[in-house]
Amino acid sequence: MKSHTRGETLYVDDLNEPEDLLFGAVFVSSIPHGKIKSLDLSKAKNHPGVKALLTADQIPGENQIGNIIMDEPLFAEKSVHFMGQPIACVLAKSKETALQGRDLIHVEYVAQPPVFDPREAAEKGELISPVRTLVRGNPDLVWDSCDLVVEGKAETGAQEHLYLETQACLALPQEGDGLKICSATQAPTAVQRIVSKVLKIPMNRIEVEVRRLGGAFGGKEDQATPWAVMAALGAYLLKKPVKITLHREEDIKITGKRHPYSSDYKMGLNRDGVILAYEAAYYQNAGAAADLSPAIMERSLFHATNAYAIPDVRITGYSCKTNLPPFTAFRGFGAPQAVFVIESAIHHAAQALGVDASKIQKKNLLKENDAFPYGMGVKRSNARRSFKEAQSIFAFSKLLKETNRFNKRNRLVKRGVALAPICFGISFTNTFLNQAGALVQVYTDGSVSVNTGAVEMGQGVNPKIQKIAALTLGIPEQRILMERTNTKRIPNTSPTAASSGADINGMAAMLACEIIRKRLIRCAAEELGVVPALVSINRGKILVEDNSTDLTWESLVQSAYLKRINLSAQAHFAPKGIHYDKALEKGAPFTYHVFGTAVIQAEVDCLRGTLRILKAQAVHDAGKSLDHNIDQGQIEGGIVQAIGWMTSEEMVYCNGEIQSCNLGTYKVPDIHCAPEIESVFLRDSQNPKAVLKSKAIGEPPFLYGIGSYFAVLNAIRAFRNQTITRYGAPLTPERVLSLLCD
Amino acid sequence: MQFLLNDQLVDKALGAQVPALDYLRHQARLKGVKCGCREGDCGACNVLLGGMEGADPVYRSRSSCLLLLGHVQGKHLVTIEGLNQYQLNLVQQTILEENASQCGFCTPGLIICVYDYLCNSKELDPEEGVTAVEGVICRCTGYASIRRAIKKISAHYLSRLDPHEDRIPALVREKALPPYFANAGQKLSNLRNPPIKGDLIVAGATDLLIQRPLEVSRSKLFFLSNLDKIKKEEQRVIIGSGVTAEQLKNAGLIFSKHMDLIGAQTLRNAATVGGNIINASPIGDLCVMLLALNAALALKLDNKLRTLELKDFFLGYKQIDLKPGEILENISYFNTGEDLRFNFEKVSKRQHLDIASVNSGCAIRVKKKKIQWASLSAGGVAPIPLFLEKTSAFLVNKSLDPETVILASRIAASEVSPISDVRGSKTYKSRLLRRLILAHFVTLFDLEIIP
Repeated sequence: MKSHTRGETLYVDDLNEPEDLLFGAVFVSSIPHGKIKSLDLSKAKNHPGVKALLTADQIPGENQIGNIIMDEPLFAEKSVHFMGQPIACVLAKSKETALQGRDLIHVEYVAQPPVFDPREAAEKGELISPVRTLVRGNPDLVWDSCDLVVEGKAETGAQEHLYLETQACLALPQEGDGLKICSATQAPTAVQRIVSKVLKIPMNRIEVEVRRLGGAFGGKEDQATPWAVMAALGAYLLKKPVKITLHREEDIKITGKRHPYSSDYKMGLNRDGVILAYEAAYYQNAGAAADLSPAIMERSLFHATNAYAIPDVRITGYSCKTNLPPFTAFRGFGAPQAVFVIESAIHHAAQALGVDASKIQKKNLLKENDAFPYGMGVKRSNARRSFKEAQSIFAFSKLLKETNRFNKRNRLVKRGVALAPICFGISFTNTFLNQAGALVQVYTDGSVSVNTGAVEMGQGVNPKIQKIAALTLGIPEQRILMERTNTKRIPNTSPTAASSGADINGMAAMLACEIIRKRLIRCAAEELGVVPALVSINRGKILVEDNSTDLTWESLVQSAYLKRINLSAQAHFAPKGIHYDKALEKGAPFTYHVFGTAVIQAEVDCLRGTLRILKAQAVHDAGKSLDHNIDQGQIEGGIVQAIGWMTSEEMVYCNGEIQSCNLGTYKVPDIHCAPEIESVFLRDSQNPKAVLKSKAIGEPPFLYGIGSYFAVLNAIRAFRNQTITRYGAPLTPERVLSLLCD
Repeated sequence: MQFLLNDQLVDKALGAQVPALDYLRHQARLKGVKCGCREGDCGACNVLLGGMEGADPVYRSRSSCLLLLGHVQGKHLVTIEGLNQYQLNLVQQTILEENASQCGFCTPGLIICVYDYLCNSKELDPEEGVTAVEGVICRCTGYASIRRAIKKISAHYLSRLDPHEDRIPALVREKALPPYFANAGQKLSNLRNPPIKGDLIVAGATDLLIQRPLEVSRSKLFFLSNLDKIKKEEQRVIIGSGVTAEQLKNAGLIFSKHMDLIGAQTLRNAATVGGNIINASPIGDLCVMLLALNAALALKLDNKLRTLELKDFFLGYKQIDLKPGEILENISYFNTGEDLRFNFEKVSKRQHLDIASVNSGCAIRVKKKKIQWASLSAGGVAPIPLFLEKTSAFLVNKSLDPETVILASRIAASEVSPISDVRGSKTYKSRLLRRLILAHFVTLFDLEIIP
């Protein structure tokens, strides 16, 4: 966006501050588990400049912000379940005063034993939701007939979103007990619904507006809600505007992250590398409340077999309740964790068979009509094609040879290569969320406003919808303004998540534009005295059988207005054919799947125990890409984010407290870590299931980055010349050195 | 207090202890300056700080969260708003075209760093451009588009800018900078810049503002000045305590080539060698380098100078042999002849802009495969930056071979006492130190060592 480069883009914290604005500071639990014996707010209340202290007992409605399961209070009342759980919020005339007030709050706890390990929680029966098992065939009947069975453990760590804009909300009281909430959220309707519940006021009194987010990646789907509700509560009770923004360290300490998973796998193959059976159990560390954990586990189950067809499969998922801040959505939504497990199993099996993992990968890729464990058959599978193209375009076998040569020549520096085929299902797995609305308004000068429920967070959903609207209306993109996301204009929105933003909102916008286009064509046909079928609009010109006329978009809009033709249209879109039966664990939860294959090259300094990801190349199935530039940006960004997850991003906990709570200790990739990236769009991929034959792009490319783990492991194997089957990410230098030595 | 802010003169009473970030966002209302971390680790709040160096103004990127108004006095502070012209400039246009801005939050700070590059890189080598933006964390793009933009911007200006002409006027001519930059030098020369004196001594403040922000905000600060020269004598190098890490990087000293492992350019523009020593972090990179070079400190109290070996300066964790009111004037080391070899090793979770798990310095002289003299140091393995006394002594008069080096690495491990923390377990740190000792010899002498 042009304004980004001029520093003129406004995020929540940049909005003009009303003179009577109050600032919030959130007081949180300092222990991971215990009862609140006493809470002394008196000193804080009397601190000059402190205007109010919000606690559970001031909530007019329900003290409940749970989304899927109602298990999360806004403010802890009698007990605390994680370090960082909000207990109170201080409102004061300045941020400094609010922080001073917060330091004066005194709380006494009776500590209770905490649980941090998901397996321990599962053993104790501490589960967020019932265990889920996805079965196809029966692996137990197959193990004996396998030539090889490998078993092991694979673990991935937590990942902080590190959106550059921290959590923020500004709540402004409106006339008649109403509220306007400017929230940095991916889920404006969730904020509206939960504010309504907590304040006990109807949803129509609450306007939630989102201009844009300074990054989110899932971290503002559910996790933006508490701060918005607190600000709303303050604004509602005090009739004053309230702003709450989290300091980076606070944000890292108390908000949710990608779930750590500890998993078991078992894979059976024949001697040719055909996978005959696969079994996995995921112990998902969900933290102290459900947040989106059950939905994330569901996506893990659905992505257990990645891009492979396996006849006999049993996948079990445990959402384990621990005393850590509730974990949440993060790009990939449980799929990356599951893909890491099966890729670990394949890597393990490849070593046992003495072949490169790519041999096993290739043998088992999904073919047309192969079935996923959840029963759905694959349509228009591009798994094999993208794999083959990646191997040929990026000269994979030559690369393997070169890598071997390099490793023979170099004693202390070794290289490794890995292929990463991916398959990612598109749609919210919770079927009802797959709906979107749009409102398109044409003004009498011919300029157009497009409203949708999509939230722009850098992923380019607005420029994509702008393009769709321009193509549909037949006018230049510059005539179209993408409006802020606002619950008053588009109600009942689904969160902008699950990579679905452009798919469903773009389709709704297209439908609305289509309605207006039809009305205008009819009007033009009347003016020109021809049948509507002959009229078209192209680049702002009105054509009859492709010949230009005197009518332009502007003059047509003007005459339509004078003829009292409706120049606004609302539309609703809900993709058809998706369903899922949780009792049977069968159905067709996805509209379609995204495929692709990446080649990742890594280098390990075997003396110092450090690594570098040299290159990432991907053949990606973007359907008929809506915007190459934007889609390329999503591929590159996703890969590097996953490389961070696999290598340097280590969330360090000590007794439930996050130690890596700032950018000095939590290291996301910088420009030097980022590899050279080459992305090629899979040729002639047309997707009839989504808007303008495109495919969703946000999450799938993240999975490519998982290949970096195995590339590094292969480099280490080249140094040690022995089998390595310890699968645990991230590969920090400490882990690398341990893999090189132990 | 007087300074230039974009195209305006600021002339009013302002607190020297106020971070520029807060002043810019809340008082000057320049919201293009974003707050991402308040610890200089993300680059969202970057600004350019221009000051006279000789006859011309020089502009360098700085994190405004780690910049105090006391630093800004007499200088030219430039935010993204100060680079805007009616139309997008070429840098902005290219970033837009290459889609090098997604959510946009890091973009203003990124553009500031590109300007540091354009203002200071003679050759306009894109790799220098990458270095200039290394402190900017972008969570969206994966940096590939940023690299492409830098390449394109470099190519554009390479054909238009002469490495020998004054860069600022040339950038004004090319419309990369707004016209008001043309006479910034003259305006800067006319600014009042009286010394700011108080009790709490401030150098670059890059650590002070992270560790003790409240103390800074409540103190009267003393801003050091005129300590920013490097003097190369025949056998000795004398470094003023106010010399920045970026100056050291460009000074052609024996350890200069290792300076790219320290901070990021934006931080190197601020952090001083004196600050690194006084801060006494057990993992201080410059402390570890200078320990290996057997550096000495010149300390001044009421015009009385005393000298002290750096290794005797560190008394305990963050405890130093510094008297109240005493100021570190300079650091010096002997740089005798070409046979002195130096190496520095550092391993951290991320190679750049990170604090080491363990670092180590090694200065050594070898003649005919025999070690004449050796001086090794290590950080992150003791409460202080440690001179490896036993290891250094052991190496003297030994023959330069793998056995010697492996023995030395074991001795090094025996004289340290690392603790487990967020940067690694103590077992790891001890093991890593052994590896880094080996690495010195592999790097300097290409010894065939199998770890």
